[in-house]
Amino acid sequence: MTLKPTDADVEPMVRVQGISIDLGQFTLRDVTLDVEAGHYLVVLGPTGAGKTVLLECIAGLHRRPRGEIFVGGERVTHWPPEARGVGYLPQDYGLFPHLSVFENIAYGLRERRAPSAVVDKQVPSAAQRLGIGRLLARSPVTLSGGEQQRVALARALVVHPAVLLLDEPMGALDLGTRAALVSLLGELHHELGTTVIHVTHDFNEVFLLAGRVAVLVDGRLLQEGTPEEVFAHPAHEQVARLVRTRNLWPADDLARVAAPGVARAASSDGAVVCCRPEDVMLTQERPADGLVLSGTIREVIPRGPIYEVSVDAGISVVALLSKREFAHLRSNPGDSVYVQIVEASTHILRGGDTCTAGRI
Amino acid sequence: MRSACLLCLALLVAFVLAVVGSCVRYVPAATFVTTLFSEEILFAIRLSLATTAASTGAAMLIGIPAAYALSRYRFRGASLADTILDLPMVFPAVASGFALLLLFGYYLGDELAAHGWRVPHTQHGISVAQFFCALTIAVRTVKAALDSIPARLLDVARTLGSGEWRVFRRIMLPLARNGILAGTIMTWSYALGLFGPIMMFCGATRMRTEVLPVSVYLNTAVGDLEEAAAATVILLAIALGSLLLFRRLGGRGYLM
Repeated sequence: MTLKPTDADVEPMVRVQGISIDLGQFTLRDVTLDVEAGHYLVVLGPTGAGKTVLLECIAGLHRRPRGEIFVGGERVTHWPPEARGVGYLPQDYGLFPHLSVFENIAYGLRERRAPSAVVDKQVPSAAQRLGIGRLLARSPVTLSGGEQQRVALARALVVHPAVLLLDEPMGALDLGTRAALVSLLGELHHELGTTVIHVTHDFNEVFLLAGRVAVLVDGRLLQEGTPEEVFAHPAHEQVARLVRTRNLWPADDLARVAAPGVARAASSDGAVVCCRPEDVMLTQERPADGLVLSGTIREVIPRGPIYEVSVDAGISVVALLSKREFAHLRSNPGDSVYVQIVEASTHILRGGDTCTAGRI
Repeated sequence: MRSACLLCLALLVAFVLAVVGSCVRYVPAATFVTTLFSEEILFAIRLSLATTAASTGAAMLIGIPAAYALSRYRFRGASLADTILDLPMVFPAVASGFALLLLFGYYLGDELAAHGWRVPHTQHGISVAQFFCALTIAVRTVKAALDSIPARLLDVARTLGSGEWRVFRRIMLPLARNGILAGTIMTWSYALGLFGPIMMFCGATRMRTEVLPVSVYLNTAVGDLEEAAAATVILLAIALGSLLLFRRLGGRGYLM
């Protein structure tokens, strides 16, 4: 599935047009994507989806992919990386171990033959902004993961790239450092207005940072939209799984165990009904409305403040309950419960690559 | 098990030390100094230094870009080229000398002579033989040094504005410097100790093609064992020094 440019009237900062490349283990297949100037796009996909390859193609690190790439309106498909004006921050930061933090940050400025006075002013300024001013004399190999990440960011941003490409920037960081980096990335994007393409396999980062999200699976771009759209209305079964829509019921199976109204949904071959686990309610008394199933609690998994409850209702149902909701339910594995599904929160995917979404 | 393995290791170390030590022990210190400054040994040292400087310089000059190509570019025939460059290392020494003789004598001899350059049985030939036999080490050690640099660093440098040459100069060369230096030392040391191919290709003529290994051979042949032992000790000292330096610089490739 390819997605058409979102707005033909506005020249996007990055336009990826029908890019295909086969690197053996990783492929991209006819990926088309626009990113407007100043937008923060998160490319979400599982490991091996081709996310890094997409960034590398935009950065010019692969020779001759099929298709076209435009940056700032210029066709850069065959331009070398150094001519594209694209900043790239790889997963392992790529800091130069033989250069000090100062020289790492200054690298791009020196390559642009910036006068020493400019380097001496801009490097400390960028370092201060990223909270690493005291590290300038250090060797990057002595820094923590979070500090290395900031140095790499400062190095990429100090040359004011038209586009900043971030490859799983949170990948190797602990939870506390991630939280700090998320707010830093948000602030920097707000301050500088740089167009950002950030790839990740963690959908939490989508909600924290993305203005828009594109979902890449097996080298194909399956969906693009706002985080809310993709989260609530996944256009493809693989997208639904990726955004943790835990309940994906073949419509035939749902019709077998549920009210006859659902049979309408089952009329199309291969239709799948999606329902987010937080939209499933469990009760002891039979609810008066909604789609109601009766079943038995199979498993309860505490996940911090949330309980994940699996119910066997002829079909497998997963519900996420708050601690209070679970206490109110007063049930344990083996107990009978009613499953209430609000029809407005369900979503139907019909088979094939170009799934359409709808409701029961 | 542990004792048996350690015993084997001790036996091997003792054997190497016995072989090396016998040469050192054979020449009394006073005789060694006198022999070292004899006209013949000084000639052999000078010729060895001159020929190895040329052969090592050429091997590194061509070997570094060749190793860069093997390390950085993906192209059809890369694996074949890689294997072919290993051949001089595994070629029997006599066969290398004979093959060089055929190429520079039988096939190209007249052509080269027409341009005033005779290679077989000359001091130039010594450098050519050394270059041929040592180029594998040059390419291998430099490639190992370049391969050890994460490709990501080079990618990032490109996106920060460096062209390919600037990336080589500002990132690869500083990071691979020790490896390249170690490779240069090992290439030079190997060229310095080369005997078989030189013997076949250039012959063993006293005070003419007499590099240090040839000197050992010539002096042994005429029973002048003190001079032979002195030349051997010099070669051993250089080999030991090179090995220590190679390890200290963190060199990799054939020897690590």
